Amino acid sequence: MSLFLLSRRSFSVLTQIKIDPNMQKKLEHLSLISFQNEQTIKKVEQTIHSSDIIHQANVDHLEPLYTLVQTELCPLRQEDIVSNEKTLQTKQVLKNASTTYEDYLVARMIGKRDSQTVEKVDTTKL
Amino acid sequence: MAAGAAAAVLSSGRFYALIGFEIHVKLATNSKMFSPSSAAPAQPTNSQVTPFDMALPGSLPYFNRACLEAGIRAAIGLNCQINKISHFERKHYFYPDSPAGYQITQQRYPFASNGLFHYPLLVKKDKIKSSTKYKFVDSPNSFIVKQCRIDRIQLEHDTGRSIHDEHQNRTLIDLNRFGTGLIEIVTQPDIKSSLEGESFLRELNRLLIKYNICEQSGLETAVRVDANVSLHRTDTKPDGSRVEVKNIGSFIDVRQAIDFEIKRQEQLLVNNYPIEKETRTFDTNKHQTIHLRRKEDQIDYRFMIEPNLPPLHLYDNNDKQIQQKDFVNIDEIKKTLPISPLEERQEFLNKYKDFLTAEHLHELLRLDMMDYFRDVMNQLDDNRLRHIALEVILNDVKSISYDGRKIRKFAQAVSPTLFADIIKHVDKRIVTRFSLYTLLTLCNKNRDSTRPLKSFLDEHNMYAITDENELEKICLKILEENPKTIDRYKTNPKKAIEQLHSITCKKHHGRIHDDIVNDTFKHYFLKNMSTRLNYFRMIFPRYHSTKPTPHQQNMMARGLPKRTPIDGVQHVIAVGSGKGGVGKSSVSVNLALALSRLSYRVGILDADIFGPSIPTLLNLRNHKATTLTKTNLIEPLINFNLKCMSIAFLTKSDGPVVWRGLMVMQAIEKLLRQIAWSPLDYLIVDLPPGTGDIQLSLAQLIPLSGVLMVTTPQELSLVDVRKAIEMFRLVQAPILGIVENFSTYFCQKCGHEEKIFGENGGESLGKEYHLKILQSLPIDIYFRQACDEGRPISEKNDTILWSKFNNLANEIVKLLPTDRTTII
Repeated sequence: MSLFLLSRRSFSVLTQIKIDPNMQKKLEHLSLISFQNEQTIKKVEQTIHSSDIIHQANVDHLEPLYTLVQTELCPLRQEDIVSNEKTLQTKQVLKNASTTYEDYLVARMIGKRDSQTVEKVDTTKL
Repeated sequence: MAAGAAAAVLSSGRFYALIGFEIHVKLATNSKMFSPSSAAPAQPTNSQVTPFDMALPGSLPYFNRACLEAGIRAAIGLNCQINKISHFERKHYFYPDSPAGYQITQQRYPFASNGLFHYPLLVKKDKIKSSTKYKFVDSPNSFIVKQCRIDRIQLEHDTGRSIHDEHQNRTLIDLNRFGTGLIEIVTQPDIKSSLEGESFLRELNRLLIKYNICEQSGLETAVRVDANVSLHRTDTKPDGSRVEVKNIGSFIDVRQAIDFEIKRQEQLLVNNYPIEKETRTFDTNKHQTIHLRRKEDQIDYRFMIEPNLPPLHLYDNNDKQIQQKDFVNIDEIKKTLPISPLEERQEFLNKYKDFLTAEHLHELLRLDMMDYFRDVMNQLDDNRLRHIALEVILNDVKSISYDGRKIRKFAQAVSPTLFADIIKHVDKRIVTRFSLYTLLTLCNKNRDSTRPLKSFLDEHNMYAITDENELEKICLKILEENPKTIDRYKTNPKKAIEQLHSITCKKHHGRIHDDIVNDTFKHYFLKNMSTRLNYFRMIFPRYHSTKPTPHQQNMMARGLPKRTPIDGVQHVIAVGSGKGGVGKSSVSVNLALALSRLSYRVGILDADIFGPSIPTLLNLRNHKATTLTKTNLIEPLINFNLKCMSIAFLTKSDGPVVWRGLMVMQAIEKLLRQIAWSPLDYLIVDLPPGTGDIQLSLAQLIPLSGVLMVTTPQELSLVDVRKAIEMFRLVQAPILGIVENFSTYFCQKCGHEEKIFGENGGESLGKEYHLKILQSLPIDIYFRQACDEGRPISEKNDTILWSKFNNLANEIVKLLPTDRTTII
């Protein structure tokens, strides 16, 4: 059975979590949601406080449940064949995108991500 | 440049490096890991995308069994412990190439962990001698094998492809690649240098290809490597700080990146700066790493078990209770696996130990020709042919295709069957060894590997010429075109033949076998040009190999006695013969007398220590030479107006002279130098029979003006005389001519001529050695009587024999003229 490392905070009804600017930046980065103003931050803090009640439950002797069907084992797709019926056509893939470019989906330029060799567009070819 | 610096840092002993790898391997399956679209590369943009790949709502992952099996093969090959229950997780981060916002991986619960991988250390051949630290072969049949621990192997999938368009400030996304199966292999930091790193990765690559885990295209496309490099001072514990280097695309990049990092970190440590934990990227063009991101900026991935995928169960033969149908049995997979590259190499060494050594294998590994080698070996049955094939691979093929890419192309173009065919043809001498290289180049250029060998040979006409007539014609033509070589042959036959050989090869594109060329030319020369001596030179080139240069001759002659002429003696004529009893002494005495009759001053020296005949011939028996001149030289005895000297005049009794070689030499020297010969026009030296000490010392001590060979016409005598002639040629004494003795007999009663000792013996000898017959002397009874009694024949002026000797003397004078200062 696998073991979890669960970091627990000590339960306290009275302590309120304060979101400092570093934490705010981190949350924004992780969730892609920006906090517009003080009011939003306060709301978030309140939400955190009210959901902190979950710590009241004593779950030391329990394993966390992460699937509803516990006895199920990972099913295996037995045949390693390409299914053309299940594959979408290109136009279907691009259907919901607001901007596309020559069958490519378009996103705003973000920058390099880790463990990926990033290709630069050769503008002489375009 | 960085390589040398890094090696210096490590070998200085003050620092040690710890290097670990995170290797992403693209699995060779048809469909993706969690969806049934194609995993093939280079498909039209966004044409292999399923709803799951686009993270459309309602889509679920369905795990591909083939990916699991590939992963297990990798785990077995890397000797990992396989965890029978493992979990998939979500690794959350936002990026356009990951529509779901997370990647499915096995970060904390991988299916395999705690492995160990052995790999051979590969060093370039020229570096073996210089770097004693990296000796690659312990014994002729082993490599240095290092090991690296594997931390874990986890299953995960790849993301889409993003192309950054800076001008338009946008990123273009292609989702074809999203979802293709990967395994990530994470090693412990057991690698100590860039060399170890490269060797490890190459061996790993071999294993992955052999076990059919990834496609065979090398590090560039199927495998991505990130290296974690940290340098520490010796005797300090690693403090957990490490630098991650990304974007390493090839084996060369691996070495350069690691070397650069080691050098960079050494600089920091030496100047007492701490090493920051950071992520850097490798710039292929500048061969250096560039800062990308600090460790503190690391992203929080919020790992969580993937709720759409239940735990992954694996089984082996020990499991009794199996709850899954169509489960994956680890032991079944183990059975289907081929042997590891390590074991395969060991097998080769054992199987082909007649000619294969670890060094050969090492070269093959370095050149990436192991598989080709294996296939070619399977095509040939004979170990002898296999040995030839190995040599050809390591020499000719290596020079045709000297890097990994070229080798692969070669292996495709020249299939193992074709190669084996070529080897067989060379072995059967249908194709010559020269044309082998050209043939291989031709086959390599031509991309159609199914073309049979015969068509190549026909097209370019590469069959060896074996027809003898044609060969003769070719040789004659070449000799015609190169007359200089014929001249050259006279002085240096070996070089001449070599020259002709190379001309022939060039002209006929190597279609004639090595040995046939040489033989044909040799035969030609023997037929048309031969003196026996040159024939001798051909057969035994050792004895007459190359002519020494004058300097060499001087050096070689240093130990030899110098030839100094005898004072006051103008010409020294030696009368010799290979055989005894042909009449040397008689001829020499009578020649001397004839010469003196022509008013020359003549002396005669009896050089036959063991059988002096001069005293008998000149009626000087029992006489001794006792008087000394003022200069302490012995006075020679004078009779018939000749100055005579013999050993018999110096020894006490008439008994045998039982002396060893050294004494004989000294005696000869004495007879030459310590006798008051001067002034003389001609000194005739009567040599003993054979080709021994005395002849040699004579030739070496004084410069001989000429040698007279005496022979009888019979073959038995000719055989020995030939040897004597060659000996004199060897010591560079000029031969004046041949005197044929006992040539004929005239019956006293009836006058009938009978050639008792054969006919034309002397003539044939003369023709062979290009020598002149100076005289032919018949058997004469009166001559014999006179010799025995010590009355020289020339007393009776009117005999034929006397006129013959006179003629002989005249010939000699013509050949060796003197400048006369006094006339008697």
